[in-house]
Amino acid sequence: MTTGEPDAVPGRPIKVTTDTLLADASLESVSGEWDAARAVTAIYTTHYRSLVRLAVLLVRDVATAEEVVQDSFIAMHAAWRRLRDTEKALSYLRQSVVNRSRSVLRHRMVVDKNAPKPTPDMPSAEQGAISLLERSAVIAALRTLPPRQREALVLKYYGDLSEAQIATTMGISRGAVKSHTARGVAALRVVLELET
Amino acid sequence: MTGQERDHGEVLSRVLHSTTDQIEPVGDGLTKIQARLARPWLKRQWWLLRSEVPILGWALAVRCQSWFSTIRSRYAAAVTAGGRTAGNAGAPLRLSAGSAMTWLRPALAVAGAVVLVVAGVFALGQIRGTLVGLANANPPGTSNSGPPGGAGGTNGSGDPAGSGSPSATQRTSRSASPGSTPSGKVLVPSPGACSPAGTPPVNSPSPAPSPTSASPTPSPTSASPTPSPTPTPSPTNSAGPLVTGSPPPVGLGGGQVEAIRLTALVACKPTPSPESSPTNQAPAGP
Repeated sequence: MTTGEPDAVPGRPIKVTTDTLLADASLESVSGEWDAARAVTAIYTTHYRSLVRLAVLLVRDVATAEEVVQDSFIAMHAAWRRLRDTEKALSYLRQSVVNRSRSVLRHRMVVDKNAPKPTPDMPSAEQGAISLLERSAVIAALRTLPPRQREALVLKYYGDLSEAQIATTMGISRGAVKSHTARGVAALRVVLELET
Repeated sequence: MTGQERDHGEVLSRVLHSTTDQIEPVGDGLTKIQARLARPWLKRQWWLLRSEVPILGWALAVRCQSWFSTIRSRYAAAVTAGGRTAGNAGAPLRLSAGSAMTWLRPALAVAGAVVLVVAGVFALGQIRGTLVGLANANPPGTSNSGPPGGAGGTNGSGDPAGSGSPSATQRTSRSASPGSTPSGKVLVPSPGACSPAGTPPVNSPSPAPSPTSASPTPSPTSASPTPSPTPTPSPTNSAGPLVTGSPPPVGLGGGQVEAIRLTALVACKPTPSPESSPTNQAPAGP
């Protein structure tokens, strides 16, 4: 188990790995495993909840959002040698969450297209999970937006990210971020005016 | 950004935060993450790709839809044409074609898989046969003497019958390959192998007539010394017909054949072969 490895080398000096021992391949691998495991734990304690909520806004399902975020953490653990930075790791996690949420929505669309319609008196399990979100008219209106506009709005107004960060996370240009945000807000204008 | 837009943004932010603040992750996510990190790498990657695979399959099915429809229409047309020629009605035929299409796809898939497996098995068999043939053609002990003599015996004769009946030469060379019978080595390239040092080129045609004319069917021109008309059935006689079945070749006269035999026997004298004595001495008698 990789998380057990840091405890397996308790006497190893950690600070030494920053400068001098990076060239040492064996110690680099050990420190890489060590850092990845610790980074997962550290980022989990600080950002897991917000990432799950971000994913919930995108996929509208708490359990699926948790799976998405956990997958993103595992992917970050695998890519930790490329990251080596908490800030980059958080950006990687956000991007991973957005991409995996897209995949989930795509998969759900395919499943919904082929699955038989449930009877009206038998609500689906997902319906119960998202009922909490649909109490707000704004959230319900947010659901009707196109995926890119919804992502841009969520990242901007829930994640409080800048346009550059949103562009990096969504993999689009800053102009496209501006466009998606403006169109999304315009589409929600009626609901938002009612809310105010 | 205008004031109204800013207000809309603030409202949206407040609503989003107030709504999602009520959401709490269920269960211990860190334990799940650590448990999944403990899995093997391949299993972890498969788990990460699990949502992509059905989409890929769906995309593949959608892309192949036109192909399936083409096959379906052709099949239906063929069935309809066949039914009309048979004098059946159209409506039942369409029904039967539709019902047949339900199992046509899996049947085609299974047939394709079977074809692939059979092709693979045949390819492996051929490769194995080639390797075995190479190994038998070049045994460790006779790698220098066996194949050249055998090849010279069949090809050097210039007789197409020799090349047309490779079974005899292959049989001899393969029977000699185990190395248990040194006489076998001698018999195939009879002069060349018996006198490795000074094999005259004159002797090279001498083995050629014997294998080419050593067909199991006794020819009417064969000389009397063939002791038994059935030398081939015995397994030890695999090399026998090359020598015993020594009817003169078509293009040679009896005197020439005798000279060739004598030359071969003289060349083979220094290496007595205990195993092939009955078959080798048979031609030596006359």
